[in-house]
Amino acid sequence: MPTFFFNLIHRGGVTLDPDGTTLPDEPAARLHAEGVARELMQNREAATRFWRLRVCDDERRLLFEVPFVEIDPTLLHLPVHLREAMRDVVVGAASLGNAIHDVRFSIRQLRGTMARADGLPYLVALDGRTLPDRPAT
Amino acid sequence: MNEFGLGAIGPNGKLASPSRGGNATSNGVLAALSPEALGRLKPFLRERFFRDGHVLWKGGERPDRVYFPVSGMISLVVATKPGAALEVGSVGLEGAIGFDGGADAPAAPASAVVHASGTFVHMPAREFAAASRQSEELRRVELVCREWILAQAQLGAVCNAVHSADARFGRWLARAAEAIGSDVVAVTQEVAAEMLGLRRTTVTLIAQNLQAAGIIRYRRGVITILNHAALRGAACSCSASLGPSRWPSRLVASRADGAGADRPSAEPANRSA
Repeated sequence: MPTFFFNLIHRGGVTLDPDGTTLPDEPAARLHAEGVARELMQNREAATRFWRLRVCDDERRLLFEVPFVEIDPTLLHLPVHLREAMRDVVVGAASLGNAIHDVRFSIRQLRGTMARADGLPYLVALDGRTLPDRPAT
Repeated sequence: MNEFGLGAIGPNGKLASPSRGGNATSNGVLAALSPEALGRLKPFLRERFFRDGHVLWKGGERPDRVYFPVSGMISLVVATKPGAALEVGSVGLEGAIGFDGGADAPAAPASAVVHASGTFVHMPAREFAAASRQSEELRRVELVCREWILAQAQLGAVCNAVHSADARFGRWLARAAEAIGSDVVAVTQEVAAEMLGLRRTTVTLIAQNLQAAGIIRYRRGVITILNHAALRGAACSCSASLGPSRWPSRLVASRADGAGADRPSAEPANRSA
């Protein structure tokens, strides 16, 4: 049976699932993810509105995401167009967040390159990604 | 203070033990008994180690022993589906459980499971009942211990309904550490998840967050609390409502101090330094 990893994207960053869970298949993993999301959001739905679970396989490849806003039971009473608007805001915020993260990352890469050129200390990795290209020494 | 305890109950409600660096070596209720009351129980008291997962009695069964936890914790659980049960209360070194309600009292619905391995002092429930017929102090002990379980069930019902998973986990963990008298809680995330009615993944993510914040450290089945104040901050307010002012060990001790008029001096002959 395959192992799935359920990582949490939240306001403070990413929380990784270190051990994963063995489940029969991807549909079972989706049900599990929805269950975990419901448990995490229960009684604090507004505070977790922008959270999402990112489900990966055992080679850490992204399989699918479960945005909390999509399965929040306390939103079900809203008309469909309002729910869709909320979903769009969350998805948009996530894209914006990713874009900002990428820009910051690029800036750090630039700074690293400049520091290396000046013979100063530089950051080599951030959040699991290496920054400047390794010098050929 | 009787000779069963090695020291006074400190402001945090824990017994200080020189040999175990702060961990309790006695149960708080037993340590707070007058020598006279303890003397009635002593012939029947035994100590035993139980592993995590050991079932002391099942719901609907009548317990035949009273347990006074020393370093382990007893979880009261109610089955939710085959193989899973929700915790509805717990007893550690601050209390005792397993009193005989009498043949015509219906047995409690919860099972009692050890959910942090440790040692427990115990005695036959029948003998405690016989001793308490002769001792108002022991009758009060039983009453106070029962009320502790009841308060937990009442507050727990509300907590489970209105508090979030991370706050509930924080409270459960802080409570477990308090019950066993140690910051090192040998409980797996699977057990914690079951007690809280959550999926293990949910507990893993919550625990990872606490670890990233430097509040706990989790290694293979052992959770170490690094920052108590921060853990309480992450926990729900129920922690405060179920604090030392409700502990049977405190209530028994305060009654003993207050009602000392006709009791001989409580200085034990062999008090340790």
